[in-house]
Amino acid sequence: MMKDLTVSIISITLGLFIIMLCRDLPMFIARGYPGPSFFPLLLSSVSILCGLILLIKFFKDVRKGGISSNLRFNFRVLRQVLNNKPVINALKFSALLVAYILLIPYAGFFLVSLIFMFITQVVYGVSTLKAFAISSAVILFVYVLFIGILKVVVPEPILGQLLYR
Amino acid sequence: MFFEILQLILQPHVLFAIFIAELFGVFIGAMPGLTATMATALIVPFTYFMDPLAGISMIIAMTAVAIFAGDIPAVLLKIPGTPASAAQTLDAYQLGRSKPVETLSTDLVCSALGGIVGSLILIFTSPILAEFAVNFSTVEYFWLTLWGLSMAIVISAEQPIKGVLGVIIGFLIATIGIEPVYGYVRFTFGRVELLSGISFIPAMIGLFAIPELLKQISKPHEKYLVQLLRGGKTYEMISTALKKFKTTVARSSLIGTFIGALPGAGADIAAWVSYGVAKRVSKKPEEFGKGTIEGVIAATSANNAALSGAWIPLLVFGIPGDSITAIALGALMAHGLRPGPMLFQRHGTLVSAMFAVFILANLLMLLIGYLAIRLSSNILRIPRNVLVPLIAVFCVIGSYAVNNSLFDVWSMLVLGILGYFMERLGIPIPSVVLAIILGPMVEFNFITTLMKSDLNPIIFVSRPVAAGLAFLTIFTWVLPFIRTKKLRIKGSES
Repeated sequence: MMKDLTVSIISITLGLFIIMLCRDLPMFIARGYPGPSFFPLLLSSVSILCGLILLIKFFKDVRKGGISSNLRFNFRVLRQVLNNKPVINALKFSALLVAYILLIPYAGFFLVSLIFMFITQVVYGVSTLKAFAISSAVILFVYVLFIGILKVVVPEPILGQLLYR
Repeated sequence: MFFEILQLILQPHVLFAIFIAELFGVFIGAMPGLTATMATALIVPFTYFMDPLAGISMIIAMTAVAIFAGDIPAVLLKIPGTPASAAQTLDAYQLGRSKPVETLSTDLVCSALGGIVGSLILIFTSPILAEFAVNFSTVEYFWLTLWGLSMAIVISAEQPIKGVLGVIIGFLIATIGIEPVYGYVRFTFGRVELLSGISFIPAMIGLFAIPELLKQISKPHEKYLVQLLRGGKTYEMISTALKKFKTTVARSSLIGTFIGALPGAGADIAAWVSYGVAKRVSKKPEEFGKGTIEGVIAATSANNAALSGAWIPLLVFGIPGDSITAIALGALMAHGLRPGPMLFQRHGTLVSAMFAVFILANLLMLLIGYLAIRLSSNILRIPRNVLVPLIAVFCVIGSYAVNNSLFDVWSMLVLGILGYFMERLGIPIPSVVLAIILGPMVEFNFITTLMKSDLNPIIFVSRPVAAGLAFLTIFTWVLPFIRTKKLRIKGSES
């Protein structure tokens, strides 16, 4: 039920945001042909409509009386979710991934990938030696396959390009 | 022509590509949670660096094996490796408790048979349909693409309204960049990188792989301990099952191919429908769910046949049948192959070679699949905390390799996180993907049709095929309401 409320809020917001973005684009052009904002505006209207339908459904459920306890329950669930190990694991991984991509242009693909693989494995409980061995082997394999065989271009570092040439 | 095709597919690099792809498919398919779609998204960027036939062969071979390999954890652990294996999991597990090798081997042979029947239907129907489709104009393509979008809504979501939202999100993602009819720039926020729109392959990697990785890493120490599989009276069980259930194999393969060819319906739906039909016509329906090989055969033949079926609308009309072919469309376009009726005329030999690869991949699957059965315990022992960072590195290199752009890598990550939340909220990712592809086609065909007719809406139903497709589309919209009404009547009666 809370999912429906979340989806309804998102779809109404998305619809309104698209309408705002379309204000500089014509809906119809010469002779009345559909213009570049015709479809985006159509989609945003449907998005708002879907959001409203879900919202009405949500309030109908509130009237039936089952929702207040459900909301209280969900605050408890929210607290549980924030202390939940799987969620923390997913958040930690997202942060590592962001740091990984941020560092690629500075230190280059291979070095950053090696560090990323090593740190991620250690963070998630693999022993240091094993993590280092696996990361090194994988990076070597990636180098041989992608650079040696497939001739794929990988991001090179802004600093110290000489190291990689 | 025959020898020319044979020469093409027996080139060492093509055979090697098929072999490697099948090994990769086994690995991904057998790992619970990792899907064939995700594997396709990961493999596609690397096909850019090969010749078209080798690249497309990799996708065909990998998906065929991945769908079969999904049955391995279903038999050994009661966990389907891919969504397409869910239908037969109960039966497969019950049978696998006493005869794991025999059950998996029968499953493998029926998968291959399903794949071959599907491939034969693809081979014989596609050229005929392509000849018919040559006469299609923007009106027919408008209805065809709109019908595809409608199917994506009706089939893929538990709540159709969330399917609609999935389509809207996908469609809006596709509107970013230069607009196709007039050349207006839309929603780029001044970024030059967005002028050509969001790159398709990084988007696919993000939407399919990142949500899976985030789910998998939430249980980092999870690995499955399974004993090594040895022995078994494999040949005996296969021959008995095939003799007894040959009709089931044939019927399920036909159902699978037909459902696979419907836009939006993939191998998982084909397996469920075929399983349901087999149960309805079986002499012993009460045994379904308790360990009957008939149920396993029905589902496994259908899901592999569906893979080939999904290529029919892709090759003939340029409309993908499922998420896998949606990604394959990107690979074809990258090689300068525009799917549609003209593909058969311009690249006839290549298309025929691709057809031959379908058969070859299913035959080779018998060998690779048998090895996978024997080595399954080793594959399942790889822990998540080793696997997930490895796949993440592949996601990054794959996204970068398409355009040599870090912007694409960021797009992949942003869409991946978006996909993770969409999944959690019940918004189906396949609807988003189909809308990214079909959305611009709907827009282009709608506007150009109106321009041709000088705003006369009658043109949309003026040709017989267009009128038929219009009826089909509207019927697809009405279908959920009819179903709900029927259920209500049934409920009030009982």
